[in-house]
Amino acid sequence: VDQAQLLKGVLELAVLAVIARGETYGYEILSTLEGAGFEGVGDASVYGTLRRLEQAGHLTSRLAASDSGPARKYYAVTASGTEQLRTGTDAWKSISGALGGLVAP
Amino acid sequence: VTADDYVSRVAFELRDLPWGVRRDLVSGLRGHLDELPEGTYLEERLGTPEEYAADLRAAAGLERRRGVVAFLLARRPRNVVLAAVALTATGLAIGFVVWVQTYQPLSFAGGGLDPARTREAPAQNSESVVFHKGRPFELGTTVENTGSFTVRVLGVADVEGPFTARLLMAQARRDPGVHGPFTRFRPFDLKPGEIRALVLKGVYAGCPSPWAPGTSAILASLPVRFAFLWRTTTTRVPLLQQLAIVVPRRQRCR
Repeated sequence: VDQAQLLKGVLELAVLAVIARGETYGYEILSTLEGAGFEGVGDASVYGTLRRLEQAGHLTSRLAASDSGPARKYYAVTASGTEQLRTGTDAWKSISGALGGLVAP
Repeated sequence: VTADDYVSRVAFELRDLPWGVRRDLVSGLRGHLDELPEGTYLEERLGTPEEYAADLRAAAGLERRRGVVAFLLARRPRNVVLAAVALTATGLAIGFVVWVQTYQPLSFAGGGLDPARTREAPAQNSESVVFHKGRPFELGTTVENTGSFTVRVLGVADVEGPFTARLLMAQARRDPGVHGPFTRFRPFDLKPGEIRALVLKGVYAGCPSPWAPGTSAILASLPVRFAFLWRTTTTRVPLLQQLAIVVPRRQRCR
């Protein structure tokens, strides 16, 4: 099974989880995801997911000046995003547990 | 590939998206490229611009859009407005030119002046008069400006008939009667609602072909020339009744 495809399936949940830790911006989200092992997920997928979550009302954003260049777009989780994260986390635990029982040696 | 090239190619791949959406995505990409470490080989990290655009579109749930509405939404609103204004202005200009080119407000006011000894032929709804070489000849009609704008009446084009005459005019009036005094014609402005009589006054003269003895010259209107803005044209203003100038068989032309 292609790992990148598996990761993409939970990317929305992962992005919400990263932003739920505190307001952050795109490149930092990418770096956090890569550090957490989401290396196979493309940058475009993360930025596309950010846009979709924002359009759905799960994220808010604001532009803030950066020290290293142009203004950065900072994201924060909304109440509906928090709810989405909770629901997704429950679903993930359920699936993970079920799958673990099937694939465990 | 440079960052600018990369962004341009991604923007091109997203050209079907509404302008505001594309601007946000492209702006986000530009910001992202600025964050990448110096010397990053873009296509190695991000894939080709085409792949990046496809992944971005898929992750954001942005389907490819087609049709006229999508085409217009994909344009920058300011450009759409400018194009619409330009098209509207062009259409109005064309319409204005066509209107001017077809504007013809002159019409017969209802009054006329016949040559002396004219006889009516009611059955044919016409009149006739016998040609008498050298005798006085006069023929007139009334012109009314039925439009909403003033036009300049320039004269009467050559009227072919067995007579020589010069063009006279009466004062501007509001009724269609043909009343003197008549003065030598000079171009004049005819305001909306105004009426003027135009009279050809002279003598019967010559009887060259096609008005040889035994034939008739038929006159039904006068070709009045007028100008409106840049356009000069001729319109035929009817006489009170069609007039036949009968050249007798015994008439000698020479």
